[in-house]
Amino acid sequence: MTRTDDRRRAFAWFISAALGVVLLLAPLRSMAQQATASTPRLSDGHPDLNGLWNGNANNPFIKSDDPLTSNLASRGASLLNFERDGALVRRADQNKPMYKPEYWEKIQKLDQNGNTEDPSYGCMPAGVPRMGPPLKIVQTPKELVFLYISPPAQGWGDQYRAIPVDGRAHTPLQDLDGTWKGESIGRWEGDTLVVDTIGFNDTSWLDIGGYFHSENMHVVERLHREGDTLTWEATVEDPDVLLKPWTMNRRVLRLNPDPKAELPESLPCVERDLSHLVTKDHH
Amino acid sequence: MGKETSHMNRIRTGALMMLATLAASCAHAQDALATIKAAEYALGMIRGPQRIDAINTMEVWGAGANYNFGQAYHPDGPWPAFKITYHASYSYRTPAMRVDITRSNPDGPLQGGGLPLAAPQRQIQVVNGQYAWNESVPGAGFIPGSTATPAPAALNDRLLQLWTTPHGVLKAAERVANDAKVSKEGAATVVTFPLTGSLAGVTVKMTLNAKNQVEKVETKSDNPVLGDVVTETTYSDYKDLGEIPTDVLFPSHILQKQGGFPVLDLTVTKVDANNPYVVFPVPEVVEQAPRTPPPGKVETTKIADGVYYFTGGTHHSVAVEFGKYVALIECPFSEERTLAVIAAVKSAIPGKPIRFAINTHHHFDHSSGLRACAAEGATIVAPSADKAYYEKVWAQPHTIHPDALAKSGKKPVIEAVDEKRVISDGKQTIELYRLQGTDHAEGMLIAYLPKEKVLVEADVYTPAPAGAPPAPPTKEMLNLYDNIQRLKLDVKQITPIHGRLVTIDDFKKAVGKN
Repeated sequence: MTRTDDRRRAFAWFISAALGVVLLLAPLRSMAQQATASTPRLSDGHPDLNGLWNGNANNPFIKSDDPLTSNLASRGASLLNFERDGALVRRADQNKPMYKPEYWEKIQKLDQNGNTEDPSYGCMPAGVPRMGPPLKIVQTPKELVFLYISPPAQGWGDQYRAIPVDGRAHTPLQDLDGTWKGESIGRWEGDTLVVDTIGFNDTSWLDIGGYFHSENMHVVERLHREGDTLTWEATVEDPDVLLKPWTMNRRVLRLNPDPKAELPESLPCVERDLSHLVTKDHH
Repeated sequence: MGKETSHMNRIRTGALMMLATLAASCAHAQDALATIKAAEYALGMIRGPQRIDAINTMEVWGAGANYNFGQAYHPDGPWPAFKITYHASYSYRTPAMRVDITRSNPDGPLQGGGLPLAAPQRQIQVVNGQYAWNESVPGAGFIPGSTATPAPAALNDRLLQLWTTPHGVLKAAERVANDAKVSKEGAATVVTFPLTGSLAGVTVKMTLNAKNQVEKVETKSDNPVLGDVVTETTYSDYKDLGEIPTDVLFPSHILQKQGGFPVLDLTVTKVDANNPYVVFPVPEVVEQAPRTPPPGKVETTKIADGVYYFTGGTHHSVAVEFGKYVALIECPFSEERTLAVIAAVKSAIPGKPIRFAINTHHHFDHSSGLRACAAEGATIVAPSADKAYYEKVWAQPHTIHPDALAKSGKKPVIEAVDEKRVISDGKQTIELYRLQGTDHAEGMLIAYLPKEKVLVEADVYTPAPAGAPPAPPTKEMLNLYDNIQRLKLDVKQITPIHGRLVTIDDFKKAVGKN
C-alpha cells in the first residue's frame, strides 16, 4: 500500500463519513417529480380550459393530511385557538394593496370591525376579484362560462360569469350599472386568457382586512393552463384609492381527473352569527 | 510502513476531529434554534399546523418619556427628558418601521439641549428596506402639502430599532441561528448572535427570562464622544395588550438606556398584533436621494483680518489667526466634519498649527470633532465642568470605529475655563467667558474678539433666515443679552455656530431691546 493510496482511502473515508452526517442532518426532501401532462387544445387552437378545477394545488397554510386534526393540535387543542391562530396566519400575508395615505385609517377601522363590516360575512357576494378563480369552466369559441361556489365560511352561494371572447369592446363605464361582478370581456394573449372587467359597485372588498375599492376599479385576470394545472392571477387598478396597481397572490389549481366529478352545491346562506358575537375576534 | 500508518492515523484523527467539530457545531446550532423557537412560542408568534411565525405587522401605542441623547445639562448627567405620546408600526418581512412621536415639555426641570419646546413637536421617522426618511404626516410625499425628508444617515439606527424589538430580535436571531451562541447567566438564558446586511458587524446579546420572554437586548455601537457605547433595552410585564385578543404577548414597559442613561421610558397601553394594515410607501424624493449623505462642504468666509468663518453644514466654526498659531472655535458634529474644517483652516491660514481648539459646550453635536482636533495636536479649551467628563469618556475604548485620536495614540491635553480665559499674543486676542444663567449646558462658553468686536456663541441664539417673520425671544436669547451687558462687551457682530452672521442691532431687535 502506498502513501498516496492511504491518502486517497482516508480522504474517501472522510468524504463518505461527512456525507453521511450531512445526509442524516439534512431535512428529508421529496424526490417525487410532478409529471407534466401536455396542454390539450380546442379546434380553434386555444388551450382547453374546460373542466372542474378543484385540485387546490398550493394552499401554504393547510397540510395535505388531515387539516382539522393538525389545526386542533396547534395550540392546546382549543377551538378558540384554532380560529384565532387561523385568523392570524391568514392576515400575515405581506402582499397588501397600497392604499393612498388618506385611506389608511379607514382600512384599519373596517378591518377592526371586519365581523360586521365585511360584506361577505353578511351573505353578500364576494364579487370580482375576491371570488377568485372559477371552480368550473365551460369554454366555447365565442364565450367562456365561469362557475363558482362559495367557501363554507363565506356563504355567498353559487355564482356564474359569462365572458365573451368575440372581440367586442367594453360598454362605456358611464353606461354601466355598478355590479358585484362588473362587465367582463375576455381575449386571448397567446395561450393566456385575459379577462378584463370594469363596471363595479363599491360594496365588495378585495379581501379580508378592509380592502375596499371604488366604482372605478378595473380588474385584469389572467388564466393560463399548463398541462393539468391552471394558474390564475388578478391585478387590481383603482387610481381613486390605490397608489399603484395591486397584483393578488397567484392561485394554482389542478384539473379534477374524474370525468364524472360534479360541481358541488353551496350551502344556503342565512346570517345567524353576528348578533351572537361578543368580541371583535377575527374569524 | 510504520511511517505510512502513522501518517494515515493522523489523517483519520484529523478527519474525526473535523467531524466532531461539525457535529458539535450542528448540535450547537440546533440548541440555539430550539431556544429561539421556544421564545417565539412564548411570545405567541408560532401558529398554525405548520408552526409558522405568524407575526408580520404590529402596531404599538404608549406614553412616557424620551430623552435627548448627548444633550445633558450637566456633562455627566442624564439626558434631558421630554414627555411623549408614542405610536409605532412594524413590518418585519419588509422590513419597515414608522415611529410617530409627539414630544412636549416635561414636568421636571427644563434644562439641557432641545428644551424648552415652544410647542408640542411631532416627529415621524420611517425606514423601509434601504430607505430612511422623516414625514411631516404619515404617508408624507403622497399627500399634497406634506413633506418627506430623506434621512439616509439614520437607516442603520432605525433598522437596529426594528430588529431589537421583542419579536424582531427573535426573528433576527432565528435567521442566523447557526451563528448564535447560547449561554446561562444565573437563571437567565443568553443568546448572542451577529446581525447581517447593512447591520453586519453589530452583535446582539438577547437575554430571556425564566418564561422564555425577551427580557433584555444589548447592542454596541460607535459614538464619536463615548466610543463603544452600549444600548440596553429592558422589556418587562408582558401581556396581550390587543383590543382584539391574539395571545401575542408584548411588554407593558420598555426602558432603553444609552451611555448609561435612559433614552426611552415607555408604558405601552395598546398593541395590535393581529397583523394590522400598515404600509410604508417610499416617496420619490426619498428614492432619488443619495444613499450616502454627501460629505459636508466647507465654505470659508473671511470676516475680519485673520478671522475666518467656516460654514456649509449645520454647525459652523471660527478660526482666529495669531502670530505663530491658530485658535479654532468649535470642532463640531463629527470627526469627518471636523477633519474637513481643519483642512479648510490650513488652506485659509497656511503654515500655522492649530494650537487651541475651543469648545463652547459638551453637547455631542458640538464635541464630536474634539478628538480629531486633539489628534491634530491642539489643546482642548473647554468649560471647567467638562474637563473631567472628557477625560473620563475619552479613555473609553473606540474599537468599533477607531478614530484619528485612537489611531494616533496621543494623550489629549484639556484646559479648563471657569469664568474667563484670555488667549493673546499681544496682537490678537480671544476672550472666553462663562455664560451665566443658561439652562442649555452647564458652564458653556462664549468667545469675544475685542479687536474685531465679534462675539461667537452656540445654541443660545440662532438667527433666523433673512426676511423670516420675527419670533418671540427665547429665555436663552434674553440671557445672552444680559451676559453681554454684564460683561460690558462692545459687540458689533454676532458670529453664531448655527445660522447666519448678524449685527448686534439685529440681535437687539430680536430680543426687543432696540
